[in-house]
This record gives sequence, C-alpha cells and structure tokens, in this order.
Amino acid sequence: MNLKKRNTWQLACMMLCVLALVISGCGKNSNNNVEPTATNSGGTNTATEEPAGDKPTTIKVSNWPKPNEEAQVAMYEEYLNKMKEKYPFITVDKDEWGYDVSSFLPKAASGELPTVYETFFTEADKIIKANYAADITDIMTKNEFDKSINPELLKLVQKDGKYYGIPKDGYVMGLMYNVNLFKQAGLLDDQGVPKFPKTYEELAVTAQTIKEKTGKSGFFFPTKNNQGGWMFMNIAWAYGAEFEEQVDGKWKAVFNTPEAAAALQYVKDLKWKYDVLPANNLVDVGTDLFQMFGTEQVAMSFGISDWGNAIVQNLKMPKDNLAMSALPTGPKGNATLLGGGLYMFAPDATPDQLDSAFKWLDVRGFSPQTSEEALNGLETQSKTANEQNLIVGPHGLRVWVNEERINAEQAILDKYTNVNMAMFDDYMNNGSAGLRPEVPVNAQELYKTLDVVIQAVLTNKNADPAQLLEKAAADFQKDYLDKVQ
Amino acid sequence: MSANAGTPTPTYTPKQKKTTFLLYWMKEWSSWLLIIPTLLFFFFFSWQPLLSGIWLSFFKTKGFKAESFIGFQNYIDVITNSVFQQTLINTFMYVFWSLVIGFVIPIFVAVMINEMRHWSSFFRFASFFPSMIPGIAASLLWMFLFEPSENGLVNKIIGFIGIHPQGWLQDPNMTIITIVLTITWRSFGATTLLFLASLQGVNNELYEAASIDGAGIWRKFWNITLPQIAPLIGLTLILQVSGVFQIFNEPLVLTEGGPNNASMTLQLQSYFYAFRYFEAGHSVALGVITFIILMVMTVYYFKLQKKWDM
Repeated sequence: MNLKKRNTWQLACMMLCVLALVISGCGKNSNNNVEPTATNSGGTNTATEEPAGDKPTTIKVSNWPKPNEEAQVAMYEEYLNKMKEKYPFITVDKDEWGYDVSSFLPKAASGELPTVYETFFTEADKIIKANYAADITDIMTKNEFDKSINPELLKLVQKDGKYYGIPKDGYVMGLMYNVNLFKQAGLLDDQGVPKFPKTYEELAVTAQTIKEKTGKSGFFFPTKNNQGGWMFMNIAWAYGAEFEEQVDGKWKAVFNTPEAAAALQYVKDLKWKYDVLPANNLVDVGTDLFQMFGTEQVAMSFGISDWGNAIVQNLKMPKDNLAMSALPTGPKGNATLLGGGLYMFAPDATPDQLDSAFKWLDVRGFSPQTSEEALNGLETQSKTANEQNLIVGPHGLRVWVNEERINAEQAILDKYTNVNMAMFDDYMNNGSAGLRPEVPVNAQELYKTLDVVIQAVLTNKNADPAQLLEKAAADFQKDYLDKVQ
Repeated sequence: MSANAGTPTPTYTPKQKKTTFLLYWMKEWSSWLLIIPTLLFFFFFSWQPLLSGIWLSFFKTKGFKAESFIGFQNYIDVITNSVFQQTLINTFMYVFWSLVIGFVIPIFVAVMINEMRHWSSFFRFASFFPSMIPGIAASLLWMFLFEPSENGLVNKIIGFIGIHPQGWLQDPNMTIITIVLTITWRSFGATTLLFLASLQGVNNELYEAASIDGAGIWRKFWNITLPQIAPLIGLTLILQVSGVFQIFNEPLVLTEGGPNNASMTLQLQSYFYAFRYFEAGHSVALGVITFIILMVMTVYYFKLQKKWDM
C-alpha cells in the first residue's frame, strides 16, 4: 500500500515536471516566433556603426538559393556583403522558401511570410484579395517605382488605387527547341539554328519529323496543375477564341465557340493524328517538361526564357542546347500570353522593414535608378551567371519604361552574353506580337476547367471537342462567373 | 472495497451529495494531473481545430480569416459545384474497389502465414515491408511502373503475354482501380499483422476438437476461424471504409484527380479549394460534408451490428 502510494506521488511529480517542461517549451517557441519580426536584437551592430536615424531592422528574404544552386548562392552572398557594407543596421534573414501553392496559405495565415517574397502574376489577384500582401503605395511613390514601371504591368498589382506589389520581370510565351534533337532530325539551317515553324500546322509537321527521325516526342504539352489550361490559351487565342466577356456588368463564359473547338481539335490531333506528344498524358512543367527536355526526350515546348537556366542547372543540359522563337501564327494571327514575377511584402511588415526591403531590392539592382552604383547588383547577376556557365543573353519582357534604364541594363547584358543570340533573335524580336494578359476573372479556375477538357481529348480518341467545351463553359459559368459580384 | 460493504449507506441531503461528489473527484486529483497533458494536447491539436473548422464553414472567408456570416452558402456552393456529384461517386468507388480488392487479402495472407511451419517470420516481415515505405515515395514508384507507353514496366510485362499497353492511371475507366491497387499493396501488411495477432489468440483446442469430430479444413475455417476473428473483421471494415473515404495522397501524387476528374476525391477537392484557390470556407465545408457522411455510415453500421448480435 505504502509503496503504491509512493509510486503515485513519484509519478505525479514526474508528470508535473513534464508539464512544466511542455509549458516552458511553448513559451520558448512563442518567443522564437516573435524574434524574426521584432527589431534586431543582435549585439553586433553597435550604435557607433550606424548612421544616425537608422533603426536596426531585420528583414526576411524569400527564394534564398539552396546550397546546391552554386551560381545563385555566390550571387546572393555578394548581395549580402554589399548590404552589410551599405546598411550595417539591417539584418537579412535567409529563407529558402519560394512561392508554392501548398505552402503559401499556411505560411501566410500563421504570419510567417518573409518580409519580401516572390510570386507570379497569376497569383496576385487572390493574394491581394486575401489580404496577404502589404499596401506599399507610399514607399513605391517615394522611390518612383510607380513612374518607371510599365503601367500595363502595374495594373496587375493595383486594387482600389493602391499598390500591393512590384512586377519584377515579365515574360511572353515562346517556343523552346532542343537543338541537339533538331540536329539529329536534320532540321537545322546553315547557321546551325533550328528551322522555326511559323504556323501551328508547321509545328505539328516539324514535331512529326522529329518523331520519325529520332523516335523522341516532338512536342510537349502540359495537362495538369492548371498548366494545361494556361498553355491552351495561347493556341485558342491564335485560333480566334475568347474566354470571358463582360455583358452589362455580368461576366459570361464564351469559349463554347467553333474557334475554341478548332483549337482543342488541334491539341487532340497532336495526340491522335500526328502522335507527337509523350505517352504520359498527365504531365506538368516543373518536373516532367524539365526532365524530358533536359534529357533529350522531347524536342519542342511552349516556354519562357527563365526555364532554360532551370534545366541547365538542374539537369546539366549544355547551355548551347536551347533555342527559342516566337509562338507560331494561328488562323487568326498571333497571340501570346503575358506572364511574369512579382515582389510582394508581408502584410504585417513595419514601415521600417518595408524600407529595408526596398533597400535590399536596390542592392540587387532592382530600382528605377540608372547610376552605375545602382546597376551594380545587375552586373553581379550577369557576371556570376556567366561564370557558372548559365545562359546569359536572352531576356524577358522589361518592366521598366525608362529608356535610359533599359539601355544601361542591355549594356551589362551584352558584356556577359555567352550564347549564340541567333538562337534567340526570333523570340526577342517577334515574341511580343499579339501580347495578351490573363483573363480577368477566376483565371486559375478557368485553367483547371480547361485542364480537364484537355485531359479528356488526350485520353479519349472519340471525345468531341465542341461538346466538351460546351459543357465546360456552362459549368464554369455556373460554378464561378455567376458568383462574381 | 470489502471494508465498505458492511457499513450502512447513509442518506445524504443534496448539499452533502454535492460535496461527496466533489470529494470523490478531488480524491483522484493525481489521476487528473496525469490526464491533463493528454487533454491539453487533444484540445489544441484535435478538438479546437475541428470545432473552429466547423465554425469557419459558415463564414465567408478571406484567407483563413472569417469575414461575415453566410449561413449555409458555402455548403450550397460546394454541393452545387458541377464536379461535386462525380467527386462523391468517385469517392464511393474508391471505397467499393478497396473492399473488393483489398479487404480479403489481409485475412487470406494472415491465415496463410499462421499456417506456415517455416519461414513465417520472413513472410510476416515481407508483407509489412511496403508499409515502411513513405507514401509519396511509394506513389512515385508506382507512377514509373504504370508509365502508359510501351516502355512502362507493367506494360512491358503484360506485353510478354500478348496484352496491348494499357493507360492504367491515365485511362478514366482504370484509374481508380489502379490507385486502389497501389494503396492495397502499401497498407495490407499492417492489417495482416492485426489479423495474425487475432488468429494466434484462437484457442487451439477448438481445432483439435473439430478434428476429432471429423471437420475438414474449410469447415474449420468457416466455423471456428472466421467467427473467432469476426469482431476484428468488423473493426477493420470501419477503419478501411473511413480511411479510404478520406483518400488524398495517392490521387494527388499519381493523377492530380485526372484524367477528366476521373480520380478526383472529396478530400483532394477540399485541398484544392484551400491551397489552390484560397477558399478556406469552401474547403472546410467540404470537409464537414465528408465527416457527416462518414458519421452516418458508422452509426448505421453499429446499429446493424447490434441487430446481428441480438
């Protein structure tokens, strides 16, 4: 009895200790959570080092390169050194997290977003609507970003006259070519540049030649992760289709037309008539395209200039194996989707932190200024990429409208260009023909709806494009457009 | 206990009753202390999120923040969505096929292993082995095996016996069955172990007595083995139905719900609502609907079971 009692007491005491530990653990945790957003507590920055009036601040920066991305790591270390030199009172915390649909929401809801984070045009609308981006109108006007950036792009981050982000780069969709496969298929001209197909018809025929000569897939078309719908836009517009229309203030789904059906028929033909797509019908860009393109399993794909370096870096594709052209022309002319990246800022960032974040962008060379010092960051970028054997030369759509700024940037780029620009001339010169922004309402949901339709025509030989689109348009109208206020 | 038995029961006034009641609980204070950590844990990590989820489903949401009360609007939106019906049917199809394909296998394997004289520990390990592979890794593995071209491994193997390459995951008619196959492969081992434990608890004398009475192997199985493990069969049935009803990982990795929504499930749709479209209200509403369906099915099952038992 006695022993039992003593055991109970011992147990109770032990549990008390455990409980105390748990509670103290919680306490510690909550302290940790506060730290990154609080002002810098590090003792290294003594008051004597700081310029008067600059409060010690800590910012967290997203998309910090992972250790295996040597080129980027070198670049970011360089920025960090400059930052320390110029603004010793700012502490920069590294965060390897980059925008990703599945982790963004938990991060945002728990207030853990980095002070400055990168995301895409396609996401801006829902992020602003959900209040997960800081209002940066004041600081943007102060730094004259509002006057120097392409107003068309600025519209994407504007709501009720306020700015919630900065377009950091733009791109237009083009066609990517695996030069080596084109060489094997005998489709290079005397300069060694692939013979670019000019129409969608030619694209299919070229792809067929590739398949016949090399046995590899001629063309890649993504079908999941909403990317199928996203890419389909390019073809559909070129075939004369439209997707959303505003009639008397109400949005209407208008892709149940013969034009849209013809475009979908084209995608279907790529599979069943020309047979140039990979056997796997459920594929996306980030894994499947990069792998297949980088390992010479596929010869052509829609793409943007940034993807080239992702493939070169991750799959060790030689940098000279990539060429790009403008998208082919459809029956109704040219159309290409405008896309790009944004900087956005944590909604709970203090004015000091926002100011520091803008200083960080400045150090990276992202500012409207054209002085040599301001462009130093840009130079670092091109120089390091060149040293690491990444593709330097082709560029996307420029966000600046300031002529001087563009020329200064081009001068730096020219200095470090390391690829045959003839491979990219067509893309750079003609790529912007027929530029189209994304549809204004429920773009992601529309892409998902179209993903499904595309999967249907690729997996079912007897699918009827017109009928599928009729149903998809009706569903999209009922599920989403009817609910738009 | 025995000391109390002799004393006459005193009559209490209500106030006294209350104090004794309190005293009774107070006397057990050390036990309560032991439970507190678990209670706290459950409260913060299970009940609170659960309840706030249900609460959130009645609000218009902005991110994860509740904006304004909208009653059942989220539920109406979710149910009237044009893919809801197909998603619901799909989810039931998953359950159906998982019962057809996966329910008997663990019982069968457990009986086999139980009967083995040699190697039984090896087979026990072998059947549990797939369960030790992380879910996503296993799914990726299957994705490579089920590659739909002629070069896919499974297609190559069936090619030897003259069958044409199949679409597997990409064939709308086969995708659910294929996914169920991969889940069964991964999870039957754990259930097998449960059945094995239960089988080993069956009294051997029953079999001996049956042998003496001249019962054959089937007779023994039907009349002794099955009735003895019946409670566990009932339990695994519920676990499997509710587990498969919430299937999410495998379709996400293998097909993303495609092709043409043929493998979309309620939970996957709920995930898309939350993380792809930032509509937390719709997402939790769909979660609550799933919960209610499962609840109804479970309650109904227990009612049925009571009837059988009587």
